[in-house]
Amino acid sequence: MTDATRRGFLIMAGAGAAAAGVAAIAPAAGQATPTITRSRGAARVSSPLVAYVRDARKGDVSVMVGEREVVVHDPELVARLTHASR
Amino acid sequence: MSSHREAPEISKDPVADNTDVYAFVSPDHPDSVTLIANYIPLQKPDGGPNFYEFGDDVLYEIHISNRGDARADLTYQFRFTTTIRNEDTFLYNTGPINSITDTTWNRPQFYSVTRVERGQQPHTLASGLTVPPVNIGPRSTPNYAHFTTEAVHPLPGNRQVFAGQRAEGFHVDLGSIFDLGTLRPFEMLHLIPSANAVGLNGTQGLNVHSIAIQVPKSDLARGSNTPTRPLDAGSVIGVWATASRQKTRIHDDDDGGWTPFGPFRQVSRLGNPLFNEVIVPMAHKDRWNALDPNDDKAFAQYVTNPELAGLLPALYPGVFPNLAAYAKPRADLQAILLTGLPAGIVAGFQNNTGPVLADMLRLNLAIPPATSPNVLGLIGGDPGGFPNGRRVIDDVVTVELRAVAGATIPLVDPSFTPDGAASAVTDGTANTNAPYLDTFPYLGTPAGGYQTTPGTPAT
Repeated sequence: MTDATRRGFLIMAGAGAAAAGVAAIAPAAGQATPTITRSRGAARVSSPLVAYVRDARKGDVSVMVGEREVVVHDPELVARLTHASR
Repeated sequence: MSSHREAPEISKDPVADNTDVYAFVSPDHPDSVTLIANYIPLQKPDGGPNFYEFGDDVLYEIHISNRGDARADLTYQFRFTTTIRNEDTFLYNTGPINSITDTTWNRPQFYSVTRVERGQQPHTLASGLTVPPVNIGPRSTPNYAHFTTEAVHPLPGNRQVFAGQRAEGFHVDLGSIFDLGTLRPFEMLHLIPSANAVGLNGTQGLNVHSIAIQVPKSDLARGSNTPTRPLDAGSVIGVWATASRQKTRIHDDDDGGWTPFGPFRQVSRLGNPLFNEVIVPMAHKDRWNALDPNDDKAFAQYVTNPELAGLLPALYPGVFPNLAAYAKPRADLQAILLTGLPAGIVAGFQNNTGPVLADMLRLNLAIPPATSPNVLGLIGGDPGGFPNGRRVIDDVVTVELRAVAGATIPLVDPSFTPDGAASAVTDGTANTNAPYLDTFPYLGTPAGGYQTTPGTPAT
């Protein structure tokens, strides 16, 4: 897979995570990072975001947008991201 | 300054901040060229307990272009790794450090050198090379000068390398120049006058971190030749240095550190001294740092119509009337900074790299080192110095001040008569740090922390 294709895939994957409703679960300053289980939702995020997988075995993705971070439990997405990074 | 804290973003990231670049035919080995890239500006020598060091997460590079397109034909890459020997102490050293291999140095740093030819796979020349400790003081790093010799490492191919702390070799009157362009020796003539005074070297007593590599001329020249004819196009190389960081990083809540991810992206660049500092407008400096010299056409307008040339007549009323009246684009500065001087301007000399407008140090490898160097380089009648490359001794502040003031306009426009001040203007400084060395790595012994005296309180 070329770098360009990987980028495109990651952007799509990130958009998928964002669609899980991160905008609706923003923690207040100083609060712990919320963890949600991925579900299909309609929330839309227009800002750039970063998806971070620290330990693929846990199936968690940290999605950071603006000053917010949401941990999404989505083993399927983690597997796709892991595959894309190879 | 040359390029210390010269742009908004990099001023917040000193470990990656290019401060000066030097490229010169080695005076004691005239078959070789010495390339030096300095980083981490304005180091106060007593800045412990976490003293200055290269960034393990920074890619440091020195680039050479020899085909005239201002793209890197050859790059030397330097990567650093820092270790902690004793994790149960806050001390940088647990006793005197008598050699660079002493285990009393608790935070040794090592590095690798990789050579990358355009279109070729990278080739690692060496790894595990030791950086010397910083100069802490007579009890921790006694007889510091010997660390320099210990830390000069031979490399395959008749090369040698040094990476570590050095005395700042660049001198400039920081306090006055950034106070509305004051030049102390001429401040009676300033728009806001005061009595003339001697220049004060703002980098006195401060250190930098240097990466220096000495290589055969044939390592750098087009076609692996050893140029001997100054007027041959193949005798000239372009040199610049960069620092790059990976595209993103994540804070690790567990250990408090940062983990970098992604490809390296350039965050600092330096070719000619003072280019980004005083030529490029503030709003464009960060972008300039991220670009390659090949992209510099977009900045040519700031060279041919430099802001500083307009400020000088305004700040020193009546001193620069001819400069004030000169309305043509500054072809002299474009030649000096963006293309190199073509043949026919200075007898027997050229350092032109063709029509591509690019900020690079341009070194004519066929010009031998001067037997009696002049710190004013080419404008002082010494083609062995700046802007033919740059030596550690070159007084680039004075050279560039005089060039901007109009002293070099007659090189390309004989109808112009420079103002009398153009050949006299200076900030009045000289190197007041440890003397330059006669041998590699040429920059002086760094100032020691214990030996440092406090600065001047506010008045």
